[in-house]
Amino acid sequence: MQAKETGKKLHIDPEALLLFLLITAVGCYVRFVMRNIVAGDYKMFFEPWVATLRQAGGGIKGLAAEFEYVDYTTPYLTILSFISICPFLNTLLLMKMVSIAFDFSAAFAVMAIVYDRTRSQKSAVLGYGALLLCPTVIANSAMWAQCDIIFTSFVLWSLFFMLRKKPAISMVFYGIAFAFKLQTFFLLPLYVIFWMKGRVKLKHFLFVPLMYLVGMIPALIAGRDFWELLTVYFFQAGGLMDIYALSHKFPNIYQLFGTDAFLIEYADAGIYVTLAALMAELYLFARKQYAFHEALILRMGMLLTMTVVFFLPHMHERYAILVDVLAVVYYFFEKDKLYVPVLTVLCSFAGYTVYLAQNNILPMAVYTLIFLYLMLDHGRYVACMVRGEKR
Amino acid sequence: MDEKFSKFLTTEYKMGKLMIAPIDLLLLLATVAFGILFRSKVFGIVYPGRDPEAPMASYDVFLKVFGSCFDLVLAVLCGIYTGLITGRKLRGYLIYALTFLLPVMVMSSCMFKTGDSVYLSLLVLFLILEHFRKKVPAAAAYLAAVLLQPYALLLLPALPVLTGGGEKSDGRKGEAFLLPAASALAGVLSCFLRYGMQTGFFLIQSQQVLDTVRGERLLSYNAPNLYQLLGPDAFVSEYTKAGIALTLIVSICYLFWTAGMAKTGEKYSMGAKLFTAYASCMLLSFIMPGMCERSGYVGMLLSVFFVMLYPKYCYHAIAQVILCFMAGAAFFREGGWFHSPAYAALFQLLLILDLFCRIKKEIFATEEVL
Repeated sequence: MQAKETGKKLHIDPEALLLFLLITAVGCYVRFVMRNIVAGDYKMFFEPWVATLRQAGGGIKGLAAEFEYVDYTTPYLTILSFISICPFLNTLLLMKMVSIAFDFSAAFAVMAIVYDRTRSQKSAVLGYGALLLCPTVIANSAMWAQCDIIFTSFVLWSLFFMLRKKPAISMVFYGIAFAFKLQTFFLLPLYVIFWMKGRVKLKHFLFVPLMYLVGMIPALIAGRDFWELLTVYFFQAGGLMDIYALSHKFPNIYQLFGTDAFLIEYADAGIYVTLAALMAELYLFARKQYAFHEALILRMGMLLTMTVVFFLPHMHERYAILVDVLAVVYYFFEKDKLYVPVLTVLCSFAGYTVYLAQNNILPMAVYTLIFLYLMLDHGRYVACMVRGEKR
Repeated sequence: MDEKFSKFLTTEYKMGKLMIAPIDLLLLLATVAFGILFRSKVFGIVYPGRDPEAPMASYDVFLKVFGSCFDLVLAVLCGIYTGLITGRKLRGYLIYALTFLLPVMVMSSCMFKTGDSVYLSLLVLFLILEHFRKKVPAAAAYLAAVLLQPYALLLLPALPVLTGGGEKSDGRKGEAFLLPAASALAGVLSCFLRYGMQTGFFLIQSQQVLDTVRGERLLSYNAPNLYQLLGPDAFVSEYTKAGIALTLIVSICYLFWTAGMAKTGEKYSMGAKLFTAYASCMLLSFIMPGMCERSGYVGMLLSVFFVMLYPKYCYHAIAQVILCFMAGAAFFREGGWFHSPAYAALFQLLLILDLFCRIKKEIFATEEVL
């Protein structure tokens, strides 16, 4: 059903509203039943971090705490620090609630993107529901208490504004996402294409470091060293925490030839393979003239992000969440491609199952082959579009 | 300013005889830079059983650098050949970049140090010279490749089509067999040089070192072929003899088929030629016993050219690259294959079936003669 717009006033479709309320209720219920699941990461990292922040006084003061090991940036540590002094509920529930709030933010972003494209309130609500009930999104926040949805939701809002041709606001959101997680950079090649195609100006990219600097302010107030805060990501990129395997339960190329051999050499070489693959793709996308439409943008985004996580060493189960949400959005642009979100989420969720349930039902190499098939499918679609052929 | 800059990057300028855009130059230069950095990361890897802490012999360093230089030569030749057969320079640039940064080639030059890019360069040179109808230099390049590495012989059954198509041969079938016969002779000579004369020629010596590392005789040394499905260590002597006989008869049949094609004197498309060559390499390396992890390189390279003409079959090239790398990685990995090599062999078999049952029909359907 199409939205009825008279002037600038939007009439809400009662059916869409009912659907929205139902989906929201189901989304909340599913998350509620998972509230007591405790993942290993919480016991190993989050609980000690929150305890350290609490010992240092919590709130802004807590950010002055000295950690044995922490690889999160100031914005998320600030959230944790405030959680540490919150008198209501326990830490685990509070952490999950923060992530769940961003689940909704991401779902609203998808709703906005889909509505912008289809002008159908029902489709928009279905988009909202698809993201809210996406298994990896639920598992990430409600089961694992991870925060990947925070940066993902900002990236989705960034894409929304980019598709609306508002590059400055888009880059502000992209910058906020970057301030939360380095994984935001998995999608950076797409923004380079945006620049090559004139959708965004070089000056807009300044919002990325600017937002990162703004995010550092609470820790600076607490008295942390500026340089140390600035180089968190360098520490993360060159960190020694993940070097015991080339892939951490993620179905990428290393699952085919071994995640346990030549850990240093293959890991270093893998970075150059990733750069080489990205270089070839960027060259192809930037060199040619073609119609740059939304479905193509989403496919490009998925292909570039998948290229990164497929070849980059030390990838974790959760790192394809950006691809998952892009696949969900993409379905509402080309509805005959249901296999794209289904297979993408299936591959991604395989890693979650191995980590959360210690249950390896199918060998990871099977998911790697499905992931590779999806990459090929995206590659063929994008190559056809770039060549100006119809599919 | 942004628009001007992005336009500058993609606008073509005349450089000598070539029209080239700054972004193309960037790709060419970045490829070399990344290629060097990539190789430097795996430069220190040594053969299994050797002390990784021990300083590398200057001889080994030389072999690795030599192989890497030829990787670049191979990449340039592949780029040129792709540009020639597709008529699209962009694909040429891309293939140049991808070949130089191909993990399989990096593994060959910097880990195996067997300099496979030398004979592969000669093979691509042969294809380029054939493209320009320079028959004698092309034959010389091919024979040199066979002398350096008998795996070049995998191309042998396709030679009549590769060298004969496009020219009227007046029904002289004997000519079609001339180069294959000479190649077979060169192959025998190559094997004799390797294992009979203990020559000091460095690449061959390197191969001998590799052979001694293996320690045992198998039907397949990590190559994802038929013998991985049968079990590479059972009935080695019997299966080897039977396998060689099977390979010979398949090669002869294939040779007669391609010679028959060449005899008609009709002009075959480049796609049909490359299909014949690629299929020959796939088939022979699948049934020939004693193949090693590097036996798939010729087929891999041909698959890349083939998919440049038919992008919809790109999965073939990707699968070949992955299978070649998996096989190579199994040699260096403690404990061999990460998964059973039978899966890889089965996948290879499916690709061969796809080639002969589906792709062949589609490609030759457009040919005038068949």
